[in-house]
Parts: sequence; structure tokens; C-alpha cells
Amino acid sequence: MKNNTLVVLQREYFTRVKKKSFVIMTLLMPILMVGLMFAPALLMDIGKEHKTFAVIDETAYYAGVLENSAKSTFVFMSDTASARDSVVKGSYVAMLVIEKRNDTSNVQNMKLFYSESEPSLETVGEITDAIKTQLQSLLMHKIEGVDKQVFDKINKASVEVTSQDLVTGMQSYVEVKTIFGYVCGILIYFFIFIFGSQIMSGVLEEKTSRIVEVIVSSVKPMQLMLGKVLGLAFVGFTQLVIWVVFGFLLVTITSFIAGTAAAPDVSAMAGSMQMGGQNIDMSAMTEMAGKVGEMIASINLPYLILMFFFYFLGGYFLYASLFAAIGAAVETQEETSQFMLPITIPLLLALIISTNIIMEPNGQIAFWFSMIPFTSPIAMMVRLPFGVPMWEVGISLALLVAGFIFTTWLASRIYRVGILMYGKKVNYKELWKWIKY
Amino acid sequence: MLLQAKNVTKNYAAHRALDDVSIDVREGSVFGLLGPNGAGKTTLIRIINQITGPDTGTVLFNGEPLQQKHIYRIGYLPEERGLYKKMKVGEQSIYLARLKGLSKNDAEKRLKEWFYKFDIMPWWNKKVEELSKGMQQKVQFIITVLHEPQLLIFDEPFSGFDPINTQLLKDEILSLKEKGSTVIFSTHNMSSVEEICDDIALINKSKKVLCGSFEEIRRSFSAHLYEATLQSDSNPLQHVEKYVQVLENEMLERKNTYRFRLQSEHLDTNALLQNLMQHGQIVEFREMLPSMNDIFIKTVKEGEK
Repeated sequence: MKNNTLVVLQREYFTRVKKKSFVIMTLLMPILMVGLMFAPALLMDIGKEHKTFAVIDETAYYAGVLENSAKSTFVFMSDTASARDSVVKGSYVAMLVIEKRNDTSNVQNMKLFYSESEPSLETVGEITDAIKTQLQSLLMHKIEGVDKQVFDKINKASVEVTSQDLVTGMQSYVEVKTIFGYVCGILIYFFIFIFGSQIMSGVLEEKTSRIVEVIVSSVKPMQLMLGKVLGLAFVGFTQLVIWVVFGFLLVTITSFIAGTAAAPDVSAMAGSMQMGGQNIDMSAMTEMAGKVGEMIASINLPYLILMFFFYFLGGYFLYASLFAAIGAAVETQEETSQFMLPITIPLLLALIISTNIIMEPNGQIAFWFSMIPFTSPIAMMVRLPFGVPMWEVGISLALLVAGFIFTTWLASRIYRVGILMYGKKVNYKELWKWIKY
Repeated sequence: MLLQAKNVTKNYAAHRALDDVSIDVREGSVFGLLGPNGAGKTTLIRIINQITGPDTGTVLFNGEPLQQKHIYRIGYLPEERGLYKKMKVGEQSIYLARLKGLSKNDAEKRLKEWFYKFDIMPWWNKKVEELSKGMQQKVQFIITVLHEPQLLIFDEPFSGFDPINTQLLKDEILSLKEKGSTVIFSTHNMSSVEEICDDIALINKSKKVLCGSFEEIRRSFSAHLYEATLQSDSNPLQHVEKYVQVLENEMLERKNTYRFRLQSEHLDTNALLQNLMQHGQIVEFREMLPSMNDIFIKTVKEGEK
């Protein structure tokens, strides 16, 4: 009879993998993901428009201080009246008047006259910062006789911290850890929902089409449910493998092309690039590539990927059978929403709490959320890159396994009654009765 | 006995679905499982199919308590039946046959034979949703019998069939019986029970109220009614009344032909016939046994009292 679980699994797998929607989703998902990552940056660039300011510098100290940038141009003028006219006509967005100042005063007054729209806070902030630095420099020179070069040096003094693992000597990059953990958490979240709801609608389809009674006369409900859950797990697995292989190929091919192109004639290429008017420093590029490599090496990638698969599967198994139970309990897609809450809340909570976990990866919240099986797949994945003691990982995994055995048992009790139950309005009280049967 | 249910009881929460029900299904017979809606027939069928288990009592298959392996030897066509709408007919049939233990090649070979026989081969690569209801029913029937099970269970097999397909199905069921299959047949269609059932059991309100060979049951429900048709120059009513109570009499359209409805509890039919012979030519003489429909209604109504 074990064999029948396999037959069910095969059907679930092949009917889904052969569907057009699977192929489309597999191809589209990475594009969507990349798109989502870059969309905010792109949108921000699109949203910015170029602005030209007229500047009347009554002090004559600030020429050259306001630098033209991609979004703003500063035109220094002497005639206030004509500058005002230009603003009114719309040639300039606004007119900035830097007023006369007592040489020893530490306040520089400015006036910003605008006609149609007020410049953004960001732009005004940039202007004031530049003016303030120049003002400080002027005052230092005036009062203490400090040279501009000396002032600039002092002004640009900074502190840099690098943290390093005492044992491996690896440098740590918190940003990489944060991103890795968060991406893993989000992937698990989406995977559970996408494949969970596929299981749910599959069960519902069998129930509403009334094929289920034929099937359960040859397969035990538990086997049918397991076949579905496992079948979908393999579908997800296939998708992941395709993505990983494609990603790997993409990286190898690009690095191969970059490598062969760069090796024979670096100087010529660098020359041609400069001729093209683009100032790309090849050494800076290789340095950056090296830095990225170093960043990735700073996290224990094989270990984290292994853990990802454990939590990914554990989390999926924990929730998948619950989705199956919901599909069995109801008769229409609309009714499913009333039972979705117990699934949505812990998962969503884990995702929201992730920001707290990143700030304090070993705090109380992080600890408990990564222990409770319903939240641990997401919470622990966010924590793991920062380093978690082995015993905690062990307990968390053990609890996760116990958790999915429990939910599978619970779900199968609901499932076996639900699939053959028609015409009954089901609520939580009714479900409890089914569990006790 | 191929299948025996012994003192089976099944409860659902506050409702008792089966109360101490026992049935015996002889090998090679067609067994009619009858009863009004909600009597517990489907529950009993589900127990035989191991979809659910009895609370108390046992079910024996070939003398052995029901086990998983018996699933492969039972074919079940449920009352509430359907197919995957989006899946192709052939692919789907192979899947369901494999669940009954057939290998992929075996399933495909046998399915094609049946599809040719029912003349539905062109549907092999169509999706189920493109098929008419009758076509889907045919496919379901094929899937039920494909693995050549020892025991076939049909729950309301004719619902949704037109008369032509109903006849096709009846003939198939009878030919399966001839080939040695045993059939459990649950239906409300009493005339089909008379046509094909050897034994019956009637379940009403979770209890078995009637069981045995169909002919014996029918005989036991006999109201001792007879019908005699005589040809005579004049109406022989006054002579007939001398021997037996006449309930009705009529003159048929055929010339000089008279029909009598007679009732008598201890009737010596030979003696009566000898007497009647003297008053005319006997055209027909038969006992009027109640129909299955009458028996069903009578039994169920008695249960309501």
C-alpha cells in the first residue's frame, strides 16, 4: 500500500510540472524578484527631475561651494531683478539669496524664493549642508587662522569599524547577513503560501468533483494527503533546483566572459572605455568583485544553505497538511478564508518580528520565536547568519519535526472526515468534534 | 460466502448509522442492498470498502477479516462520483487503475479494450470537462470493473443514465456475473432489482428489516392472489364462485374470454384447475406475486408505525 502514496505523489507532481503555469512561474519568478529589488531605486530615479537654481551671493564667499549635480544646477547671478524675472518666467525653479553677514557672526542667513513649487526638503538640506561646511571653514580661518586644507582634513575625520571572527579570522559584514537572513525568511514565507494554497485547492477540487470517494476506496486518506504534500514538495524542490542551476550558470558564464575579455588586453579595453567617455576603472572593478567574494565568504554559505533546506522543508511540512485539512473542511473557495487566520497569523508575525530579530539576533524575542515550530522556519533563518549556538539549532529543529508530526496527525483527523462530508456548515467547534472522532 | 458482515454497528456522534446489521453475500450472486434515503446503505458500503471502520462487529471477505489487500479485489462505483475535470480521460483512467494495483502497461492495455468496446476511444485524449455526463459515467464504470475484482459494488449505478445506456450497463453487470464476479447493488430502482438481483437485504432506519433470496421474499409476501382467464360461451362466474372467492371479474375484448381475480389462503391449484376446466377453456392461470416496489413500500411503511 506504500506504493499508492507514490502513485498519488507522481500524479500530483507530473500534472503540475507539465502545466504551462509552472513553466511560466519558474521563468518569471526570478525576473520578478530582481525587478522588485531594483524597482524602488529605478522609481526614485524616474521621480527626480532636474532643477536649476539662481543664486545671488551677496557675500561672495560661496562661489564654487554649491556643486552642480545630476538633479540640481546652480547659476550664480549678480542682478537680483533679472534673477527674479527668470524665476517668474520659469527658467529657474527658485532664487537663493545668500545675505550679507558680519565676518565673525556664526549665522548665515539665506532666503529661498520659489514661484510654483517649493524645492524638496532633500534639496534644501543639501544646500544648507554645503553652505554650513563653507561657513565653518570661513570662521575657523577668520578666528583661529586655520587653513582650508587643515580644516577639510579635520572635518572629514572618520571612524571605521571592522568586526572579525576570532577563530576563523574572517571579517564580518552585517549587511550581507541581514540580507541573506531576510531573503531566506521571505522565500520560506512565500513558498509555504504558494504551495500550501495549491494543496488546498487540489483537495477542494477532489471534494467538489466527488472523485474523492473513488480514490479513498483504494487509498487511505492519510496516504492521499501525504502523497499530495510530498508531491508538491517535489514541485517546489524542482523549481528551486532550476533556479539554483540557472543562477549558477549565469554567474559562471558572466564571470567566464568577463575573465576572457579582461585577461588579454586590459589596457586596451580600459583605453577604449575612456574613449567612450566613460570613466570605468578596471582595477576598481576587480577590487569590488574581490570584495563581494570576501563578503560572501564571510558567511558560512554551505551550512546556511543546508539549514535553509531543513527549515524550508520543515516549515512547509508543518503548514502543508493544515492547508489540506482546510481544503477538506470546506466546500467552496470562499469558505477557506475563515480558517486561514491560524495559518496566516504566526507566519506574518514571524516576518514582521524579523526586523527586531535582525537588530538583536540573540535576544529573548529572537530566541523564543526561533524555538516555536510555527515561527521558527522564518525566525531561525533570519538569526542563523549571525551565529546561533548548536544546541539552540538542535532543539529548534527537533521541535520543528515534532511540530510537523503533530500538525500532520491533527490535519489528517480533520481531512479524513472532511473529504466525505457534504452540506454541513463547518466551524471550529465542528472541526474539534472531527478531531475527537 | 464471499462477503459476510456480522453484527455491524456504526455511530456518528449522536446518530446511529448502522444498528447490528448482518448480511451474507453469496459468491457469484447479485446482491441488492435496498433501503430509503439515509437508511445506512452508504455507510455499510463504505465499511466494506474500508473507507471507514465499524464500531463493533466484523466484516469477512472470503472468510478473512477485511484487510488492506482486499481493496484490490473490490471495485466500487459510488453514488456521488466524479472525475478530475482538467485531466485527460486516458491519463486519469490509468491513474485510478494504478491505485487499484494495476501496472501502467496493464492498465493501458485493458482500458483500450474497454474503450473500443464502448466505442469511446476518440475521448482518450479529451479533458473530462469536455465529456457529457453519460460519457463520464461510462468512463467511471470502466474504471470500476477494469481490475477484474471479485466483488463489485454499485451504488445507484443508473442515476443519470438514459434508457439505452442503462440497458447497456445492466447487460454488462449480468455478463460480469456470468464471468464469476459477485455484485452488490444498491438502488432505488425496484424494477431493476427484480431483473438482476438474486438476493436482497432491506435496511430501514439503520436496521436490517428484510433479507434473503428475492424469490423467497416475494413468496413470503404473497397475498395469495391468483388470476385465471377462461374461454367460455357464457360467463362462468357463478360456477367459479362455488370453489373460490372471486375479488374481481371482467370480460376481455377477445370474444368469450373472462378473467377472474381469486383469493384463497390454502388453495389446491390442481383441484381448482380441474373444476374450472369443466366450465371452459383455460387460457391462463398464475399466482400474482407482489412486486419489489410493493414489498419495499409495505416494509418501510410498517417500520414507520
